[in-house]
Amino acid sequence: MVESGPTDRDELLHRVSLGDRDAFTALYDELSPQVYGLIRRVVCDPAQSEEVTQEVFVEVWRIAHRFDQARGTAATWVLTIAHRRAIDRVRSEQTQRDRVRALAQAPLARPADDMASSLDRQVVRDAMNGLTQLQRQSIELAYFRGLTQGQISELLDVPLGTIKTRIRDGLIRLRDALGEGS
Amino acid sequence: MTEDLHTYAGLYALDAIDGEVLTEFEHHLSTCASCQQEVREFRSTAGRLGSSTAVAPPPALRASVLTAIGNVRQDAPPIVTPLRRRPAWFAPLAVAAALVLVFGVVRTVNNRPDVITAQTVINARDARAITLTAPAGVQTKAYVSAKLDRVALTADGMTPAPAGKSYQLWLIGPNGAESAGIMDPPPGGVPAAVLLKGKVSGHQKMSITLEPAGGLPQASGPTLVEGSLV
Repeated sequence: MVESGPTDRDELLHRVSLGDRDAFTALYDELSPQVYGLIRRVVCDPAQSEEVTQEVFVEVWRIAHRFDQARGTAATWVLTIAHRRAIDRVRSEQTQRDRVRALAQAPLARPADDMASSLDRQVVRDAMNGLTQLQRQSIELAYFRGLTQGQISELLDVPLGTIKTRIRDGLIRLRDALGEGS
Repeated sequence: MTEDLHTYAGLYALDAIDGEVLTEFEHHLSTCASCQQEVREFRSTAGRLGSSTAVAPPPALRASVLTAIGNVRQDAPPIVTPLRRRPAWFAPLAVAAALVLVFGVVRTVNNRPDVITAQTVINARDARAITLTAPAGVQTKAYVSAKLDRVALTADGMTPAPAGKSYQLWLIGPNGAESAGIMDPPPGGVPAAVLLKGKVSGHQKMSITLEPAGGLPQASGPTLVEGSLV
């Protein structure tokens, strides 16, 4: 996923902000696997994941001028929007208690048609394996399941403040292991 | 919990806080450079996690997305160059009077550092920018945050109201227009931002009218700016 380099995508997104539809198409081709993959992982249901993916790209088109290269790469910016939309969808779907209860039972299913390069997956997996169990669980429940601090605390039966510090410590470790840029 | 706010950067970057904590942290974030830096780095790290789950979307989605953007107008970037021609009623107010006004505004803000400001709404994660219909030479945009349930307005190229008049803001719902305060743009038409009083929920439109100084309970003057908030 790093082959084309972040600067090309930054340039594409800049052109999108000027109304360039070809640039938008190219950006969609570049980033839609990451966007759809993340949303699918959070939302699970394929039809809803498609809807949310479309919402995300329409939003990218609409507010492209807000992208600021100095504050991160285009991929990070788009994935931040995608994550927020995905968790908005799952949080509006179920009440907090239902969700926590369902998650306590269901294992996390991985999509079968995984497209991330095996190298990239391996690097991320190694970095995740470098975390403590509580750090890893908390980060996965927050990022991939869309749970809030309170829900994670309830599910794992760990105090709120502990969840907060474990997530931050875990992210610092991941940041140092993975380096910057997405 | 104020001394504690720095440590929320991780939860925030993963979208894992909500409610009052989220509002408080976003307020803190708007002024804390080290938290801004940490959130940037954590979001980049989270993006790496997200990218590792890449899956090819169904091919039909591509055409659907490309069709969808054909019907969506892009938000225009803010324009900072004031235009030359303005309608006659944009007569400049005396500089001295304007300074008194600005000073008054600054003091209010400093006395209450934790209240929601126009900037808080504009920077809110869910803020949507909506371009409003305005007179030639004036650019106005509404920023609506459903989470904060507030709307802020930016105006560019708008000069102070004529002597004895005020620009009055209105939120319009099924029961008519409710006053959302007075707007005092600084002289020279430089960009200005104002937070509308009242909640967005229950309102579909906003407008600005020119009224006698201090405003009225019900709009009587000409509508200068208006637009839908939904």
